[in-house]
Amino acid sequence: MEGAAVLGGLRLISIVPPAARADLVRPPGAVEEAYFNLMCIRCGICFEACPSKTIMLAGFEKGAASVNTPMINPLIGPCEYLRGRCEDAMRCAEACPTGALQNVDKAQVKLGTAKLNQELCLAYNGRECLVCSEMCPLPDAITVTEDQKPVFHNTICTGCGACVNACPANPRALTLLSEGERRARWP
Amino acid sequence: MQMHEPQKVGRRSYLKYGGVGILAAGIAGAAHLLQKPEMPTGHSAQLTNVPSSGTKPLSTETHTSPQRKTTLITEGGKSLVSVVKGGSSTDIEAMVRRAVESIGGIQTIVSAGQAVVVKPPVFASDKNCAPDVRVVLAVVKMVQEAGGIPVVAESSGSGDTAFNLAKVGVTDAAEKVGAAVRDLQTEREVNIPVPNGLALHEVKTYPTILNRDALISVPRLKRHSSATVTISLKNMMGTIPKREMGRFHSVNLSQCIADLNTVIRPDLTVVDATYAMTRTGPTGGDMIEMDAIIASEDPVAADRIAAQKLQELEESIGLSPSRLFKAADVKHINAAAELGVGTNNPADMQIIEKLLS
Amino acid sequence: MAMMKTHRFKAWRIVTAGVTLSLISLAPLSGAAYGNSSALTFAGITVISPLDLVLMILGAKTISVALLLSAAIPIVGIMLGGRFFCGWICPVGMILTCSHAATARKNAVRGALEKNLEKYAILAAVLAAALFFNFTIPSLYSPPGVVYRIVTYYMLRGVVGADLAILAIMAILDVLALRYGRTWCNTLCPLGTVISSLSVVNLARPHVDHEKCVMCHSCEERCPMRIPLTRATKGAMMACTKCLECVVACPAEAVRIRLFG
Repeated sequence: MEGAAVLGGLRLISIVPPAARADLVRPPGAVEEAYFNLMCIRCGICFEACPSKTIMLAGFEKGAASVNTPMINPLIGPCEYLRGRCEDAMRCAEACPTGALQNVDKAQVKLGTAKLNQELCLAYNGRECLVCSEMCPLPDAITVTEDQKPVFHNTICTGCGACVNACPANPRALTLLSEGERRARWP
Repeated sequence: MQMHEPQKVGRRSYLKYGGVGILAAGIAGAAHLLQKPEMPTGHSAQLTNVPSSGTKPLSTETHTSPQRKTTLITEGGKSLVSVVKGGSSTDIEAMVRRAVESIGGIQTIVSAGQAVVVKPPVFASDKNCAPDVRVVLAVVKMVQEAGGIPVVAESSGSGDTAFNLAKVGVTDAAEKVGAAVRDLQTEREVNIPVPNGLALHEVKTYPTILNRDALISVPRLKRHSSATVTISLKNMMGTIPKREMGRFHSVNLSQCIADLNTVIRPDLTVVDATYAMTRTGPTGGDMIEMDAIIASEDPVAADRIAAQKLQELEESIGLSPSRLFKAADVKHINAAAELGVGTNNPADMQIIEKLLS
Repeated sequence: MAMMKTHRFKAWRIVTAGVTLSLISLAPLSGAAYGNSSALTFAGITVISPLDLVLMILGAKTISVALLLSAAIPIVGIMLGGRFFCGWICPVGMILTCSHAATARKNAVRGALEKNLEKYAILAAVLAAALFFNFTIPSLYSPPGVVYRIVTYYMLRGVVGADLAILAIMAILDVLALRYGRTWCNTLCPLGTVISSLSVVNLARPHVDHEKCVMCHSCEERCPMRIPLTRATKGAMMACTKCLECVVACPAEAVRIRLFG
């Protein structure tokens, strides 16, 4: 935030740290986590607007403060604003009545990063599989080595979750984390 | 003058009422929390591996593949493969018609009143992955002229099938000529055995595929990151559910593709090689003009010849040697030939080359 | 005759609060504005309520110039207008006014808590929740936020939001209002506490003309904030919500609104 001064003293005495959780990925255009909690009225309209039902309303597993707030669940589907079906209209943000989700430019959106567990990856275990790289909507976020193994590039990845959704390994070799996320500026 | 104090309320009395209210709310709240949390109407949001929208739960029955004309080629007879180049002509429909006529015509596989599935690959919403809509349209028209009932069907690997079909232009084009378009993923999955499969012993597919009288595969000629090329044989992966596609990768992709084609085998293949995807695929490759339509009733032969053409194209544009491939070495084509789905030996093929105008 | 005048102002206040609530709830549908009971954005300008400003700073442990500027307009408005929000805009005030009006004649037990320290305890608890637990969810526990959420939920979805805890908070306040009038507003509401502290200029206050006054204390009995109007200090007047009940109640027409007190 421009002009923000971190009140270090307050952070020291806070029992619950104010940073967002790594395993909680917010929909695109979400404002900073602390403001998100203030603005989100838990109405669930974004959940209804999402065409692939990627947005899920969290239960208690993400903390009591996040109950009924929207989160991205890549197991259900990837974020279509980044993958293509929402095209140029960010349906979740347009539906949000309070501005907890802001309508931002697609080029600025980064929900998080996909993380690969090589021990579970089929390609790293001798199978023919590059489904993650087939599904990735970006040309360079997942590159393939000469011996057909995928390499993930965190700085390019926008966290849409398409690879996580498609990974055929059981258990899945990919998870979506909120690392590197870019939140919308507000107010 | 009497001092009139503003009327005070007993703290005890106010808090008593308030306390009773809070207690009642607490009990109601606890009862509420002990039940399933309430969600907005219409949806249940559980954190499980939910299949993509539209897939219905599995049927418990196992269907046997009905006997049809797709008997496995064993020996004898050469597979006809036609390669038609447009030259200066840009009439794609004419190219398709010429290609199919050269190998015996549509009436060898379509009779009046038959349900014919026309299967283009619509993997995602990218037009380059799918064949040129005009090729699909030409095939559909030919089926209708022979008295068949065409159904354009697909199960997309990436995203929503109906959205992809519309985005690519297939839905509009088919509706214009009165052909049905079907999103297979809205149908109930059915399990069929794969008696001759080496890696696959049963596979899930859809009723439209199961109940077909004939199947026409209309692929785009493309490279593929895992399978080297994706042409007619790999196109058949678009007749099964998404989770099955994933299963193929975990088991043995190339063998599974070959096994699948023993039970879901195209009766006719029309390869759109007007533009081919080179270097990589099925997305993100470089589209290079090749100006050809390749057709055959033998999907393995069609794949082998089409792959050969792609190999030659890549060599001619100077692609780096580390990225080149050999058509003779494509695993799933060879595996399919081993199972008798078709022939991958050019000596057992009769290749008919035509040039329009 | 006094009763009829009361109803006129009361009706106007209920209408104003209701219209404001509807506009804020409907604004997102038109795309003209968005926000909730804590913060509204209209034409690129965000206004934040002062209590929620403090909660955000404590909850996020950060300050930004944009954040502080967003609270400037409401703070200036409060400094000038006092607790005008409570009287004319607050949806909770609107509901409590309606509830109390239903029993006005029957129940004379109304008023403020003795030695009112409760409001500071509640305000401190709310601030502590934000500071120590990042708990800043006005749509769940702040009554204006709760009412806003219920209405918005209804406007957007056509059903009443079914969270029992939320409905319970409002129900408790309503039941208390039947007997105790706006005791929530005058002695408990943390937002009210903050607004009172900020109403330093407090224009348009009621003023008693002591030559006409007959010391019947009707104004004091009617005042929902329990301000002892006939001998009120400037500090006591900071709680005035400009509801105009005192003006209406005075039989001698001794109470007038004066811009500069």
